[in-house]
Formats: sequence, C-alpha cells, structure tokens
Amino acid sequence: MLSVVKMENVVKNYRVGKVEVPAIRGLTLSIEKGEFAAIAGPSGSGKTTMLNLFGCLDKPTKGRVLIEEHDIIKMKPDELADVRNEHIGFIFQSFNLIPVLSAFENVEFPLILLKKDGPRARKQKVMAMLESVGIAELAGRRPSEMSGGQQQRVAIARALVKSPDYVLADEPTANIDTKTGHEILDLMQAMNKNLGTTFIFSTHDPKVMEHARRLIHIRDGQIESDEKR
Amino acid sequence: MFKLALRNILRNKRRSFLTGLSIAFAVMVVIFLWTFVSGIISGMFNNYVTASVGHIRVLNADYLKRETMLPLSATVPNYRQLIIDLEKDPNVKLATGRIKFGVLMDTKGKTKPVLGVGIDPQREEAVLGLSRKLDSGRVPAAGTSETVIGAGLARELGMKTGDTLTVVTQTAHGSLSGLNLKVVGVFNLGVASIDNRTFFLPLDQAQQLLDMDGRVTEIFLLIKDPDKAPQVAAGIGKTLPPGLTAVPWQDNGFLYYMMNIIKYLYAAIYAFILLLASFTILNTMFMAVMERTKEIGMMKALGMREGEIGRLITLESLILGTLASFAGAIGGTLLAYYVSTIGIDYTAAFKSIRDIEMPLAYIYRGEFSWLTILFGFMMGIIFSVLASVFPARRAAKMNAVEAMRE
Repeated sequence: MLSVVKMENVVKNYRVGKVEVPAIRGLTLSIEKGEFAAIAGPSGSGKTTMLNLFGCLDKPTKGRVLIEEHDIIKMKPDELADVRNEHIGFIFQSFNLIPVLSAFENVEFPLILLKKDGPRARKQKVMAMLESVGIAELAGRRPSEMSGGQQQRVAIARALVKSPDYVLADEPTANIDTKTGHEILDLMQAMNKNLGTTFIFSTHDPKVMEHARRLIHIRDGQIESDEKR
Repeated sequence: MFKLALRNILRNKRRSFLTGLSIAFAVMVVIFLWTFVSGIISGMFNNYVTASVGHIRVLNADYLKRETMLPLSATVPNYRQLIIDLEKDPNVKLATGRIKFGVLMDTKGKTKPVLGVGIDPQREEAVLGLSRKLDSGRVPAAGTSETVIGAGLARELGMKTGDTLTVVTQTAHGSLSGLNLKVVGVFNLGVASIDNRTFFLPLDQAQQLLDMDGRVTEIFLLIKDPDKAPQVAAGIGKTLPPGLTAVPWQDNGFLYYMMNIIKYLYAAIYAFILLLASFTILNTMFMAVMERTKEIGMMKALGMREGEIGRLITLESLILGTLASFAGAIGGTLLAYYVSTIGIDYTAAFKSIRDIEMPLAYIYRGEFSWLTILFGFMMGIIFSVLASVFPARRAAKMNAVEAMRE
C-alpha cells in the first residue's frame, strides 16, 4: 500500500513553563492513499497534536514524520508552508473562513497561493468545487451571510480545490447541529469515494466514528486500538 | 492580494478613517509648514543677500583682507567697463557697483557707527527693490543728494521723511568731507543688522563725497543659480584684472551656517510630525494583527509563507498611507497655495511691539513648490510603510497552531 503520510516512533512534548508535558508518547502510524480515517479519543488524548504533526504545523520532539518519504523535521518554515500548500487540505472546527472574502474568493484563496493557475482556470476549478459541495448559488456571499453548515461546505471546497494528497479535518462537525453534521460527513465520504481524496479527521462523537472506514483510538498519546472496517 | 488588503482596511471603517485622518493631517501640516518656512527663509536669505553679500561680489583682494575696516584705499577701478564685461557671462543675471563706507553719527549723545551704501538706484530696483520695502517716502533719485534710511536707524536718530541727514566722513585720500542728504524715505528689509545701521544714497553722491570718481568698493552680482556661486565665482576670478577677486556668498561662513542649521532644524521638525502620525499607523496595524490572530494562523496553515503574510500587512498600510497622503497632499496644496499667494499678515500682531528692536515684515508668504508637495506625499507613504514593519513581522512570525487556538 502507498502511504501518504507516516509517523515513526513520534514523541511530542510541550513546554508549559519549565515543565515538559508529553502529548504523544512514541507513536507509529501510516495513513494510506484513499483512506477515510477517524482519530478518536477523549479530549487531551493527543488528537489535535497528531493532526498538527500530520499537517506540518508542528515538528515532533523525537521520531520522524514522513510526507511522501520526506522528513519534515529538516524543513524550514517556508518549505513547510509550501508542503502544506501543495499537499495538504485543512478543514477546521470553527470553519475559519476569511470574513472579508466571498465564498468564491475563499475557495480561490489557496489556488492563488499555489500560483499555478491563471484566473480563468481558477474560476473553473472553484465553480466546479462549489457545485460538488452543493452551494454554487452562494458563491457571492460572505461567511457572515451563511449558516454554519454552508460555511463548512465552503471550507471543504477550499480544502479540496487544490486536489491535495490528504485532507485533515479537526472535529469538522463539532460546531454544527447533528443533521447538518451528517450531511457534512456524507459529503466528505462522497468526496473520498469520487475523487479518491484521503481524509484524516478527529472526533469524539460516536456517531461520527460510525462513518469511518478506519478508526484509530488514542489515549494518553498512544494508540489504543486501530481497526479497519 | 490587493483586494484582500483593501477589504481588510474597510473592515474597521472608523478606525481606518481616523488613522488615515491623522496621516492626512500630518502630510498637510508638513506641506504647509514647509511652504511657509521656506518662504520665510528664502525671504530672509534674499534680503540678506541682496542687501549685503550678494551671490558673488567682486572686490579688491586687499579690501577683502581688511573688510571690517571698510578701507576706501583698496577699491575696484573702472567699474563701468567691468560691469559690462561681467554681464557678458551667461551665468550672471545682473551686476552693479556699490560703495560702502563708515560714518560716525551722534545719537542722543552717543556716537554710533553707521554704514553708508552708495547704490545705482535704477539697477538696484532689481536687487534691493527698495521701492517695495519702504515704510514711508520714496527711493532717492540718481544725481540728487537724497537718502533712504533704515527704520531702526530712523527711530534711533529721531528722524523721519523730510528731515536732513548730515554726513561727515573721510575721503579715500584721508581728507575730511561732508554732505547734507535729504531723507526721502524710510526702508525696512526685515533684517535688524541692516535696518538699524544703514542708509542708502545714490552712487554718484557717494563717489563725490569720498573722492572716488569711477571707482566702487565692490561689484555686486546676482547669478542664475545661487547654489553654483562658488563655481561661477572661480570662473569669473580668472578673467578679472590683477588685484581683484570674486567672492561667493557661501564664503560668508555665518550666513551659510545659519541657512544649513535652519534647514536641518526644520527637517527634524517635519520628521517628528510624521513620526507622531506614523505611531497611529503602528498602533492600528498592531491592533489589526492582534484581532486577526486566528485568521492569520489559518492563512499560515493553508500554506501562506511568512513573507507573504508580512507583505499583506505592509500592503494594507501602504494602501491606507497612500490614500491618506493623497488627501493630505490635496489639503496641503490648497493651504500652500493660500499661504504663498495671499500670505499671513502679521501687521496687527506686531503693532503692539513696534518699538521693540526686531526684524519686522508685514506679510509672510510661503514659497509654493510642487516638489514640496510631492515630498510631503512621498514622506507620508514612506512613514506609513515603515510603521507597518513591526506589525508585519509580528504577523509573519506567528505560530500557526498557537494563533488558531485563540
């Protein structure tokens, strides 16, 4: 199997004042292409730290994080930014759209950072993506003029528009009601199936876990169970 | 990116407006002050230059060595021919002969040294322009024993237009000579050292009084570019008859020194005003960065490089600074236009202190220049961008994880 991202014996400590607090204590894990994997666990178990490491937002204290066999520990901030830009899509718990930009412009933003497409190609990609998340008619609206579910759809479109190797979603349904949450998950699943995009998301909601085809339970910074369904 | 920056500015309209206002105001004040002060400086410079040192003076080399003594023995002969020759130089605007001589006068029982200056009344209209600087009366006519005296001197002597000034002095050959001059006017150049101790009389009268037919103590030159006086003087010096020398105004150490001091002093004041205004930009941009911590963290997570984030903040500051500076430049242009055409009238303010010895002018006018306005505009922009450096760095160096946790 082809791994898109891999952790090898990763330890991550945080410094709180003068004390080192362990968040991840020796963790090895490989995510393969096309997976739809949930990382579950109580709060404080290290879910977010794992996602930050997968997302090149943080470096491990010990061990290696490999993205396409490149170790991120040796990379400079700008190189990490480029890796995030080219390989990784992000969906956040609180949507995190840019408030002064319209839905269309928010989705277009990563494409502009990528500097690969001209305005016309960008427009095509953005509109296709808004279409597939089902909010093409809201393209001109600002985030403040949309519901939570609609905003998260924009966020999904933003994460997927650049065809990343994998998408990280930190509790993507935590801030929306259950029904909309299901719709969002269904949408992510459809994207996973239709586009073959790898998804890694964290959750502590049992209902959300049911959707996952691979469920990784972690506790105290270590893997408790790892089951594929 | 430009669109994003512009919308970010419009995000908090009132704050951006107030920040812009302070920049616009600073730019306006700088343009106004610059115009006004350079008007006053160049006015003072002009008065001083035209009354005493000229742009260049042609002198007897011996005279230069003992200039404070006003030696009438070391003079410039054949001055009429020399003026004609000098005016052939394309750099020279005008040349005219003068005689300076010392006279002792009795004022309220005290003896006071006074400077008499013989001038060519017609030519000096383009130099001193005495007719425009009279408190009362008129300018003396060539060939008549008439004089105009400085306002300060007139007060000290208790004289007014219509009185007679008796001048007794030594001639160039050392014999005693005297002349009665009719005071036909009182002048006020706004330079105390001149107004308090100088009287002007027609050159021919001075030559007669001092037995200096065909001679002057100096030939006074105005040139096209005063800043180039040293070079022009050097060029003229080579063509002069032996014994004569050309002295540029910059050789008057004190005046040159003062001019520079004043220039630097005001440059410091302008910089200070702009600095104050740029603090408001600094503050605004810091607030904007702090408010948007989470958003900036998210943009970093999406793969925006540190440099790109820094540039975004700087761009916001640049747009705001440019718009504000433009508004300030328009306001400044109007003020500068007003102050350079109509001027500010100090007559009323000075009326109560008329008796105090100080250089009085009546209306100060600014010196309007598009360069000044462009300069103010550019400075507003430059200071705005500089003020954004720290907030931009702060934003660029933010840790994405910590920023998003907020």
